[in-house]
Amino acid sequence: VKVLEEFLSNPKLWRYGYDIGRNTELKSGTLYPILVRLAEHGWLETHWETTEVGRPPRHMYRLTANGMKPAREMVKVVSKNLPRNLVLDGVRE
Amino acid sequence: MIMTLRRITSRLLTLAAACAPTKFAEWARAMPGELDYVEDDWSAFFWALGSIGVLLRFSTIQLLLIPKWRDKSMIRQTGQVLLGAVVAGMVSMAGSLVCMALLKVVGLQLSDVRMSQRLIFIFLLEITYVVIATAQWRRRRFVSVGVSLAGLAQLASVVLTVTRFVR
Repeated sequence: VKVLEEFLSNPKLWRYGYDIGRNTELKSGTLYPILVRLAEHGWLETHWETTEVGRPPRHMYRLTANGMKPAREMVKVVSKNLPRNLVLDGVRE
Repeated sequence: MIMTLRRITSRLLTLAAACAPTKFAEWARAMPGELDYVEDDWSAFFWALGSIGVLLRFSTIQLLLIPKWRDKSMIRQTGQVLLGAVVAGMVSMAGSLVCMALLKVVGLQLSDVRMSQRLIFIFLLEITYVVIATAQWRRRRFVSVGVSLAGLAQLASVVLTVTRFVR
């Protein structure tokens, strides 16, 4: 849900793995299986982006139009079921 | 030349990616590519470790789920080969027990039995395996394969023992 929330924070933006991992505080061992599953279900689209010469292309990800709706619903449902003093990315003061 | 941590990390991850199943080839290519954008060496190292773990998991899952292993007939055939090996093992044990009992009756110890006499016993066992394997070949081919394999393994072990004994 953290990953979905991260994608939903700016749905049109293409993101790369390490960036998502840093923002969600998820390690690569947790993040990649989630990304693979999302892509397999068609919620995520991927593309390769070449940034600088001499650097390998980056694999970029963003939510598909089909993935946007269920992702929003899932985030909503999970947020609803969390205790009042908690939000997804930490403890609310 | 001392390799930097970053280079070791990169090589390890590239190696793991090369071994990844084709289904995950795109992801396996994405992981080493990501390393160049991680700022410090240790973060890159830990990021790579996690990625290697994921690739290993993918490979294991793929290996367990490939259709030929899910195929019921394949499982049944493997079971029959094992059954054949178990049958051969039981024949061997029964033969050994009978021989031990006979030795006891005659009042001899195992050490009293000469190598040539032991080889005759093994020869008889091998003949029994051949008879069972031939008899089962038409009806239970895989059981027969199991018996033959066990017989061959036993023969190989005997040849090794005799070679050592002769030396």
